[in-house]
Amino acid sequence: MSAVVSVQSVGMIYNTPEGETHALRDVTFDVAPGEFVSIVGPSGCGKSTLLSLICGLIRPTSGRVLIQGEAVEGPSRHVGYMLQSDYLFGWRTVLSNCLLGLEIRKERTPERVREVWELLELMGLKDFAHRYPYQLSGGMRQRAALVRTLALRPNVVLLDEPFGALDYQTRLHLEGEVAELLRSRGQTAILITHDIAEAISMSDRVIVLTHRPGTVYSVYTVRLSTTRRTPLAVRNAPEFNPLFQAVWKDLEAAQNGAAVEGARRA
Amino acid sequence: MIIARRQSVISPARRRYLRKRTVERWLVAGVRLILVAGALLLWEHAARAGWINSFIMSQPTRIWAAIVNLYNRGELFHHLWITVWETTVGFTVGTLGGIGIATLLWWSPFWSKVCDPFIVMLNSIPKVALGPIFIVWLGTNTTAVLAMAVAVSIIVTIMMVFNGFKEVDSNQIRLLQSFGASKRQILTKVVLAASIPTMIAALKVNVGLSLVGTIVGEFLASKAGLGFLIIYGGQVFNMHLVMASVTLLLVVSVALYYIVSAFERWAVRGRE
Repeated sequence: MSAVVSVQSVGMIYNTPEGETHALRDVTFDVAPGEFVSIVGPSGCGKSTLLSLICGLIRPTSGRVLIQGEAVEGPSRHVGYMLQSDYLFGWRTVLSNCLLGLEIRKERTPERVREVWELLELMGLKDFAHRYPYQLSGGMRQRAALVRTLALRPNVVLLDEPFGALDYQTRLHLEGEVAELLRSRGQTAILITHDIAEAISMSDRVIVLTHRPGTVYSVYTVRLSTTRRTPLAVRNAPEFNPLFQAVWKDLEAAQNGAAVEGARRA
Repeated sequence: MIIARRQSVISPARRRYLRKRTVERWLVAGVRLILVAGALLLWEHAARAGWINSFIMSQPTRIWAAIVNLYNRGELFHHLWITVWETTVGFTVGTLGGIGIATLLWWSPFWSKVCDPFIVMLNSIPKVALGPIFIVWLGTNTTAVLAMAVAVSIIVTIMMVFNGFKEVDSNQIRLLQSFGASKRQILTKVVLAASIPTMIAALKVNVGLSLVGTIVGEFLASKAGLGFLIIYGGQVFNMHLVMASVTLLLVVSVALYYIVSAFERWAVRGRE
C-alpha cells in the first residue's frame, strides 16, 4: 500500500528580525491509507509547523512532503485542516459555515450539500443547522468544524489539538465520537496533541517528537486487546498504562536539554 | 385561567422586583420631562419678567414662532432638506470611500506601510481649516460643502476600518487558505464580513462628523441649509432664528443617529 502522506527529511527554519528559529530537523514518516497517526511532543517542538507544512500553507526549507504521491506545492485539495479552535464564522449559520469550503472551491453542488446534511445528522447537529455558532456549546461547535472539514472529502484530515479548548468531559466524549466517525469512514488522519491519553485512545500509531528543532524521537504502534475503542474502554485496557508510561518517558527524554517547564499535564 | 396560573408561578418577591423596575422606569422618564419643561418655563418666565434680555437670550415661544414662520414662508423643509441631503451624501461618500481606500491598503501591505505616516498627518490636521481651500478650488456652492462633509469623515474611516481589517483573526484567514482561497475570496468571505460591525461603527461616527462638516461648509459657502440660517441669523442679530435653527439641527442629528442605529441592528442581526 502506498502512503497517503509521506514526509521526507523535512526541515524548517523561520527567519524573523530577531533571528533564525530551527523549528524542524529531518522529520521523516509515512501515513498509510485509513491510518490514524498521532504526533505528540513537548510544547514548541514544531508540531503545528509540521501540520502547516503537510497542509501546504508553508513550504519546507529542506526535504519534501508528498500527498497521494504528489509533492505539496501550495494549499492541497487533498487535505482537510481542523484547528485548535472551531473558528466558525459568527455571521454565518452552522449549515452555511459547513458549506464554506465548498463555496471557496466552487464545488457547492446539490449532491455535496446533501452530503453535508448527512454529516450534520451523523454529528447530531441537524436541528441546529440554521442556528448561529454562539447558540451552540463548545462541543457542538467543534463537531460543526469537523463537518466543515469532512465536507471537502479530504484524503487526509489534519487535527491540530482540536479538543484543547473544551472541558474534560466534552473532550472525552468528542474524542471517542470523532475517532469512531473517522475510522468508520476509513479516513486517514493525523492528530497533533500534547495529551498522551488522547493520542493513544484515538490512533493506530503514536509518533513522539523531540524539543525544537523537532525530529522523530520514537514511534509506537497502538495494539489494544479491547475491540471497542471508546475513551473509557481504551483507558481500561491492560496495554494502556505501559504504553502511556513509555510515551511519557520518551517525552521527558525528548524534552531534556530544554528549559524545565514544570510538570506537564498528561 | 392563564393569568391565574402565571401569577401562581411568579413569587411575591419577583412581583415586587418587577413592580419596582416599572416604577423606576416611569420615575426616570417623568423627572426628565419635568427638567425639560421646568427649564423651558423658567426661560420663558425670565424673558417675560425682564430678568434676561430676550433680544439676546431669545425665548421658547419666540423660537417656536420663528419655526412656524419658516414653515409659513415654505422655507422650513427646504433648509432642513438641504442640510440632511448634504450630510447624507457626506457620510455615505466618506464611509464608502474610506472603506474602499482601507481595502486597497489591506490588499497591498507595501503601500499601507508607505502611506501610514501620510494618513496619520491627514488625520491630525483639523479638516475645518481646509474650508477656504475648498471654496477657492470648488467655488461657493454645494460642492464645497460636500467636500467639507467628506473631508472630515473619510480619513477617520480609513483608519478605523483598516485597523478593523488588521484585527481579523489570522486563524480564520488560515482556515480559508487551507481551503485554497484566493486573496479576493479571503477579502470578501472573511475580512469584509468580519468587519461589518467596525464599518457600522465608522458610519455612526461619520454621521456626527459629516454634520459638523456640512454646518461649517454652510457657514462658509452656502445660501441654504441650517448652517446658512444660523450664520445669517447671527449676522442680522435675529437670535430667535439662530435658536430655532439650532433646535432644528438638534432634531436632525438625533433623527440621523436613530436611523443609523436601526440600520446597525438590521446589519448585525444574528451575530454574537
